[in-house]
Amino acid sequence: MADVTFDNVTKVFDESSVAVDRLDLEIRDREFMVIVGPSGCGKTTALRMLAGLESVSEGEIRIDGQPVTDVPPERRDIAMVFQSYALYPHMTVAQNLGFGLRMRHEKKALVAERVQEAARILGIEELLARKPRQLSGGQRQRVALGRAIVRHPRVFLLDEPLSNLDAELRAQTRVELMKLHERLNGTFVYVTHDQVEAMTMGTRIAVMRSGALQQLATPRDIYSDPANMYVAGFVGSPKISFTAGTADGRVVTAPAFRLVLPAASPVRDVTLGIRPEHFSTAPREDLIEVDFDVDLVEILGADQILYGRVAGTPMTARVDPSLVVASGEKARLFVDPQKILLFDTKTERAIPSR
Amino acid sequence: MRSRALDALRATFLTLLAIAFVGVPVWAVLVNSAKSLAEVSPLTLAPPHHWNIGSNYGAAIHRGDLWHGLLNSVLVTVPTILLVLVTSAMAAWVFARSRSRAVRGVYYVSIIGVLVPPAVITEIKVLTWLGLEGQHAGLVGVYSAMTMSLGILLITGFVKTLPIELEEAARLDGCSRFATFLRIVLPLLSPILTTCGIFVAILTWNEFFYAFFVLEAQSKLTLPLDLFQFASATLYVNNWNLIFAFVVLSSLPMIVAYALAQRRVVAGITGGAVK
Repeated sequence: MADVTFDNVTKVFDESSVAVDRLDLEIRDREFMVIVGPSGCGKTTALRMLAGLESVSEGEIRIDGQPVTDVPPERRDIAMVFQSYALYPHMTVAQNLGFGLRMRHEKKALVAERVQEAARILGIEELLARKPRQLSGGQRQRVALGRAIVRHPRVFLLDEPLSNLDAELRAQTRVELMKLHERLNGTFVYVTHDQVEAMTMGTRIAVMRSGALQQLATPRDIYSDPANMYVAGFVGSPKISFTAGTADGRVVTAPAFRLVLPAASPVRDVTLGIRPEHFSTAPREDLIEVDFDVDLVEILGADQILYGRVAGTPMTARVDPSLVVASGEKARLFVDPQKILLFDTKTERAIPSR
Repeated sequence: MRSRALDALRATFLTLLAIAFVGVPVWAVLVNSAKSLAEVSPLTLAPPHHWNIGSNYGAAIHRGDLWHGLLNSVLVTVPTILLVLVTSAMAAWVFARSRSRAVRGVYYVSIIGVLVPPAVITEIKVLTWLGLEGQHAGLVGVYSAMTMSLGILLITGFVKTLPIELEEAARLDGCSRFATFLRIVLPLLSPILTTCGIFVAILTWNEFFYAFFVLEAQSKLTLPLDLFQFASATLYVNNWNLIFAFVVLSSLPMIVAYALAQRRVVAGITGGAVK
């Protein structure tokens, strides 16, 4: 297994459009690294550069400290699961699985053994004689995974491998992928646009936007301590709400909100970020009371989501379903000032407030 | 309802057209090839009173030197097909996958042969320089040059429909570029290679004009030239029955090849590769 380093890596397409912009990323040995971001953020390009399928315009990629920037893909000892699976249609499942080993001139017995092993791990033993077109989507996905694991590669790359599965199968495969990661004890680099996949699977998450790395941290830290407003908005569902405020020394005021910081804010124009679950229905001395103008109520069972406004600013609250409120009404809600996130409005960067 | 009536009308029309342009000549050749010399001269569409199949076809084979012509045609057609398919497939793969403008330019030059007819005098001249005039190899060269544009055009279009992820997966699985072509691309091209092969086979098997200019020695003549000689030699006695028998026999290999290859053109061979 191996660690991977992106050292100031840039990818420029057609001399003008920058797909990946000076990416620095350290992927540790045996880590499940998730690169997440919206489409066009450069995450897939970064993965393809690591695979050797795209050239690197500037910078260097290293595997186990060895530069691989100029090494062709077939000599990087990397396996990749493609979004479209890319199974060889003219080969059986067994041939698909064993192809990488055969190309590396492994002994027949070893190929057969590894193919059997992978098929057993993925539960596709009875499919070995079939051709890809005779498989369901979920089965194809397993074969694609199997093709990667038979090789025992240094690094596994996965490019949105779940996006072609239905919701139920996706949730199931997510769990299996995590188990697989534990079992194989390998370095995984996983690309997705889905923040739920990123949060649930990643050892660490790299959030990208317009080719640039926004934050690299554990799922917990990404959520509770986002580096900027973009990351704060990208993770969490329903989304975080923002409202503009002003800081005067240690005191921050915004319509309906007033907080006192432990230290003076370095900037005057600030933005407050309030996650839906930071609203509550139970009054407490240290909480800020707000009038929440409810526009829409979504009852989910365990809790309910209120969409509405606080002092005219659109906000979303996740509260206990025992609160009976209808759209058009006002709700009395309470926010813990300790939990409110604070950002510099101009740079959109987080202000360490506490 | 109206469109269904229109469809039926269209189908009827096309069937009648096919009967008129294909059915009638084929019928004429078949029935007249089995008539006796006395019966054949008016060249009617009526079936023969007696089917002289054995004697007519035997005479055509014997007097027309058909076996020799057949061998020569095979010696020209088979290498042509192989040469065109192998080189076109390789070129088409590069043309379809390259992002370079220069390669695109080369592609357009390569397919220009589909539009522009070859120039016979320069071709003969080139063959003379190469010392290939009068040789089967020379004719193979001419035919390959003539049909390669079509091959490249068809195969390039087909390669573009193949998902590129397959080739990328092969690279990551340890294939060099050439191994990727050989083990992944080439097998997936088999439907279009079959189609191209049939095109090239038909074009070269029945080709008369260039064969007439390139080949001279009696021992090297291909079937169309054989037929020409046979027909010219026997025309004065109106031996239409034997000429038609020769025509039927010389077409048979193509018909058989077409029937066999037809089944190998499997639609949707890439099914299941992606998604």
